[in-house]
Amino acid sequence: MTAQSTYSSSDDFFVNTADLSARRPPPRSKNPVVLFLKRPIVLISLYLAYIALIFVKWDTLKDWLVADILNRPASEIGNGLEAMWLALWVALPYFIFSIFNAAKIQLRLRIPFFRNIDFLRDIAQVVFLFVVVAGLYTLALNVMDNTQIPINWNVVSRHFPVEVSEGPDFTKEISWLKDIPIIGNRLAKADVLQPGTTTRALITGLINTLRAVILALVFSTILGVLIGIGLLSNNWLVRNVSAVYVEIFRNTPLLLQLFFIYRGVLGILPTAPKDAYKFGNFYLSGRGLNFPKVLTTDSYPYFLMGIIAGLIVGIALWRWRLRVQDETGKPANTLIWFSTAFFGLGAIGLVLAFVTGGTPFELENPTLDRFNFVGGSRWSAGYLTLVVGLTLFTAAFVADIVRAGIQSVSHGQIEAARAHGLTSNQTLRLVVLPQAMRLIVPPLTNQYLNLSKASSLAISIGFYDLFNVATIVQNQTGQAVALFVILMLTYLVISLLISLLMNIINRSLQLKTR
Amino acid sequence: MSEKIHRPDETFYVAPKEPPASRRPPALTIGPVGWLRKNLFSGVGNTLMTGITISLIVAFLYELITWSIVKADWNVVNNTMRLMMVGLYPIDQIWRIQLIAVLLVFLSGLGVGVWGGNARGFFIISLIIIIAALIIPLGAERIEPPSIRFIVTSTDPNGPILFVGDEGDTVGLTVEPIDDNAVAKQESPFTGFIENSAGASSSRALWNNAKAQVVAGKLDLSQYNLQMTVQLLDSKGKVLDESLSTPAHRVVNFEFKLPANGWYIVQVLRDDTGDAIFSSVDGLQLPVAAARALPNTGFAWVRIDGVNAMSAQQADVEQRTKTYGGLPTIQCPSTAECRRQLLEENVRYEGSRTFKAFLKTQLDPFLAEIIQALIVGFVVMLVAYSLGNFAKQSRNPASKKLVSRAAIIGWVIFFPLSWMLLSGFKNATTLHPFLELPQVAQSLWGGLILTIVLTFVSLTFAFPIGILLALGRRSKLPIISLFCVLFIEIVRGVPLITILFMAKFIVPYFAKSLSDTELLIRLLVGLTLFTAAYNAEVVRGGLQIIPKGQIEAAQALGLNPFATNVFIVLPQALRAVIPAIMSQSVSLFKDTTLVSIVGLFEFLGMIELIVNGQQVYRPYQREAYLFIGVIYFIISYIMSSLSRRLEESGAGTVRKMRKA
Repeated sequence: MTAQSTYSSSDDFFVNTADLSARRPPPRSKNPVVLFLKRPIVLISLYLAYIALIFVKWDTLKDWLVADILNRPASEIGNGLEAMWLALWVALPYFIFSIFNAAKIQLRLRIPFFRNIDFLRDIAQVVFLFVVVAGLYTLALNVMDNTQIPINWNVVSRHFPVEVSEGPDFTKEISWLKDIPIIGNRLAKADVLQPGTTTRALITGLINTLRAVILALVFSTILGVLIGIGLLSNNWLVRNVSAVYVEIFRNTPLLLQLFFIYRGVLGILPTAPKDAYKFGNFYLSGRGLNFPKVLTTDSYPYFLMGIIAGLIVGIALWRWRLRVQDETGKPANTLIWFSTAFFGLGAIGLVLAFVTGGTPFELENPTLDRFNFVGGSRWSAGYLTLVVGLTLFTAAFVADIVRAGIQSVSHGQIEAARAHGLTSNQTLRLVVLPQAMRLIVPPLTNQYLNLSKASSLAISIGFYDLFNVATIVQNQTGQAVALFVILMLTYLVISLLISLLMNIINRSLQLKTR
Repeated sequence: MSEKIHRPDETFYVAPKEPPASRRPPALTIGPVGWLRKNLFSGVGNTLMTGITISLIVAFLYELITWSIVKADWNVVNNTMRLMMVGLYPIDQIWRIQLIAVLLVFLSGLGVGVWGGNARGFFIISLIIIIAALIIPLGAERIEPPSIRFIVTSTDPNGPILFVGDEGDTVGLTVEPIDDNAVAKQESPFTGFIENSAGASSSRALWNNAKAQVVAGKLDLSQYNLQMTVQLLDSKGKVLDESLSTPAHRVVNFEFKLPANGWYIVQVLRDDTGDAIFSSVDGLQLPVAAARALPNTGFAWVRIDGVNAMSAQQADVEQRTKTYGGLPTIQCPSTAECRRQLLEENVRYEGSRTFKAFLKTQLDPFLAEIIQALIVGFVVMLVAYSLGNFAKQSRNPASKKLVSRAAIIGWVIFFPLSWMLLSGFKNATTLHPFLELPQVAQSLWGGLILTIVLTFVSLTFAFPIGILLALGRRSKLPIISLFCVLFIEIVRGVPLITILFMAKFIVPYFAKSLSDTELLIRLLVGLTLFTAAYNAEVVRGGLQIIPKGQIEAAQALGLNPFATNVFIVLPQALRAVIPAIMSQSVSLFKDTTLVSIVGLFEFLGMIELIVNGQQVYRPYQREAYLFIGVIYFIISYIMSSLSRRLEESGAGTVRKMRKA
């Protein structure tokens, strides 16, 4: 609210300009009490004291601040409604203050109130807020009255009755929970984290969602970049095939694509494991894909240490070479230095591992038991469909973004780079891509967000993602409100995390101006 | 003086056979050969890429075309066309939808006629005609529509076994209780199991369960005492033959000579209660599970000899017999193969069809379905186009004005009129009793028409709400702007399906009256709010590119904020964002498919209901999905090419102004 005693020039045309006395500041009060009270620090302290009072004494205050007004016992008032009322009471002095201020100015101005834009604005906001709060309040009351089953947040600690065949087993105890310092013991005893609870099932669902989203993100980026380059190819055929791909996948619904993959492609494969299509140690059947699992052995830490050391030394060398280039102008050859260090130290780690205790990795191949595969890893048909479907769909959008980004780099830039004697590879790497990336990253972020949200379509193909698990709970308990709040918050957090990550990347790519 | 020696090569110039490289003519760059060289074979890598791409395309297209002509059975599309397009809309009321489609074609034709149109305009018009022709199946009554019973998924797992037989076939029927534990312990005593249309693998699950218990020694099959009645019924449910098991003869075994071509039912009933004790339709041999905790219970397997094919649904068999005249025979070498065949080949047509047969059995029914509508659509479009074009070219400017005004008014009243036609209305005044249309419940709407309704209604309402949200977000008033930001970001941060689920489950709690509201309305509200949030961001982008000078100039002229926004800012901003709004509409059109998850049967949901809920059509999922994929593609393509066209033509005056 703009309850100031002076006016900004943009608001002037609403004020009766003939009355110039309106612009004169009001005479300052001489009363020491008023002067004391008007100090910002005092006002803020008073306000903070009021808030403190409300918060500390809420348990007793709410009887007459909420329950009496609503005319119903405090025990019947839900948490959400109570929080809303709390917020209202906390914000109340602010409203009173601003209305009082607006009224004061209005009185002093002696212009009609309907021409005083500040007054109108404040009133409009208060009315708007009143409408919104009243609307939400009515809705909340109605939800309380109409739900046959009262909203119960304890639904998260209930037993989850359905078997979730994907992801970490939620019926087992989390063994590492106790090892967490300080809070470990408390967490292990928490009701909601006991094996078999709804929370655990929701966590499993969340992990499944993330598994699918992350894999689809990576694959769709790779495929999208390839097709995007195809869209810019000199080859007419490649260009048009890429364009047809993009058009087809952009112009048909994702859900249809998922159904087609799930039922039309995977659904017609033989379901019996022994009839599965075999590619080496990969078995593809109607039930999913079975493939070798990579296991680490005792000598694995040596290899890991070699890799990590290689990475650290490599990055240090990279930076050093860049500094040398800045200082002396000699070619940096960062990639050569980095890869030498990385692969060299990695190889040393590998040799160490072999010397001390054999191979660092072992492959556990899936083998056919009587009816099913034993050992190895497995991607279920639902997971496979979700990853493939999301990848193909998003890749079409990514391809178009990549094409637009590269095309937007002006041709003069490329010509200038050539004139400076850069090779075509260098032109691409040092001139075109850095500029294109700036335009690619923001829309790419949007696509990634879309992908993470679209993963909730897993419910249509029976994959146990977060949304599917939550829907099962909702069907079992009827706790729609509680579960949708949890769902929305989780998806918001996922979206925010992706945005954050992409914003960091975006910032590192932006032009650095000094 | 030495005699000059004549050396011909010094005296005469002998042209080399090949000119030196510098003198060779440059490679051809014009004409088809030049084009090919430039675009496909400009280098080694390029040539290699061309080769790989061509071979991939050829392989893919060859597979696709041969499959769709030789093997695919498009009758799933032909037979269910009406369901797909208009859902369960009553047949006698379909003329309303036909009227809407004719109006749509007429208005499109008029628009292109008056406001001009190029080749792409005609292309779009013809696609609209095709869509309209699909929506108005004038020959609807000719095709037997699948009855309601068909599209409701059976929840009864005790479906009977059906099989097809020809007249004079001798069918051998054997039903034998399993009372030997050794048999149960064998790895695979039965050839196969098959899920029925309810999707319940109940017989298999029951049997596996029992088997595990037998192996564990917890269950003794010999203790069971299953007594049953085996009946053979014809397709009308008349009992042709029946046989009972007795304690002495526990195996029921009889032969029967079939009286006519057709399909037959085998029913196994428990002797004491008369309940059906089948759990599942199956192949040649299967256990009949009746693992109820009753004395007369147990497992049995059934064998039917001398039968060509078995299926779960009568209509499929009839359809196949009608279409192909014959039936494939099942031969399964292994359990899994048999099971797969039963799922697939048993019902699927697996043979090679000639192109002629394809035309006759596949394309002909499809064309017969739409040809009348196509002709009507074409004629209506032609009339409308000529009318519009005539008015455009006439010397009298008033006539052009009149027709173009009529077109605009037509479009404006088209949407509410369509809604009224679809839902019907009661006579309000009682003065005109003929002004009454029977009301059609919204739960009966479905198919493509529902998809279109969802898209257009939510677009129409989302647009103004989106503008308000965008203005609110840019507002200087902190509370309003905070509210708009919160709304937009929360809606954009969660998946659409969450919002739809909320509209279905939580909105009824908001008010007592809302729980009686049709699901369609609630979902429409959800879709509208979702689209509005996205539209708001697009409009905000448009608002941001309006130069500040415009607003200042408006203020200098004495316009108030409302007038500034309505007459100065919004017209420019909205023109600039029309292409973006259009592509937003495309994604909305695709997103309407999600309502099928929450229980409305729009286009994709209808297909799901048809191909997944029904044993008959289950093997033809690929055909159905491909068909609706093409329709979705056509409509989305119309919309996105419109958006691209608007973008190319520089829809925004802002852009033109900036260039100037």
